Amino acid sequence: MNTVSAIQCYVIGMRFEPALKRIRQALAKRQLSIAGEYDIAGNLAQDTGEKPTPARLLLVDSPLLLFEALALDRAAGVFIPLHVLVSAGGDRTQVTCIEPAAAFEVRLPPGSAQPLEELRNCLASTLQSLTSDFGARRQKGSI
Amino acid sequence: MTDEPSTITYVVTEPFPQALRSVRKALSARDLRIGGELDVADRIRRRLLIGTAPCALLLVWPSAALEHTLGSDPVATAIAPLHVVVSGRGSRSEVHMLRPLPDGTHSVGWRALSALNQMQAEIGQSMEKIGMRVTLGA
Repeated sequence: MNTVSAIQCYVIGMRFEPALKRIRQALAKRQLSIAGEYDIAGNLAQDTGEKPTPARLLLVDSPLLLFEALALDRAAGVFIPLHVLVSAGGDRTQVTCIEPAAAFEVRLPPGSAQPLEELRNCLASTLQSLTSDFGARRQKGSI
Repeated sequence: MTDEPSTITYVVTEPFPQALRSVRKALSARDLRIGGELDVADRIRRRLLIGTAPCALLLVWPSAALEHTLGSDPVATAIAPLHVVVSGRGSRSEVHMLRPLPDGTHSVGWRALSALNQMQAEIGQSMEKIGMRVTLGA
């Protein structure tokens, strides 16, 4: 099971709101689109009485890769857009990318494997560039 | 890699607009929240100037009870909302959803995995009310 690449975690050395702004800019620069955005502050578990941790879920894709993935089988829409969880961690911001397709050892919808991989790689390099630019470490999710 | 598909498909014998309404209604009947909806075909048409068959992506959030369990696992929080894809094929429509995650999915804690699979079961049961599951041959 390919659980290593199912989760990618990045830590950006900036506070939440500036980091979120940088993420949006970096995605746009790489021609990646944010198809949807959700404020999920409070969804992440925390101690009773604590202020909800700022968190945002971004749905990221590229219209061209989306079209390519869906061309043969609309079921590919189950995996695109990709989910990017941005959450505050004090003076840093954690970014968690989930790729459910990578957690499977099963057959992806026809024609979707390549565009999904391309989208995943583009997103990974975009986020990696942010961690490099802002002096924070990158870590892979644990298995 | 096995030959088992990663998604489940239901066929609804209604054209797209009616099927979409039926899907929304069926999900709501099981207290599944539709947190967002993307008109995929329209998005492709506007951005790429390419016309495609109607297709919509519903973003289904867990119930309040399951949300608390999922919140204990950041990975599970990021997997939700689950995608339910509705696509039109003439006089009928197809609904696609993620197959339940296998037990050995160690990237997600077991409690969160159970909650996710419970959510998927709820979605599947709601789709059983309005459509027929497609079973592919071996």
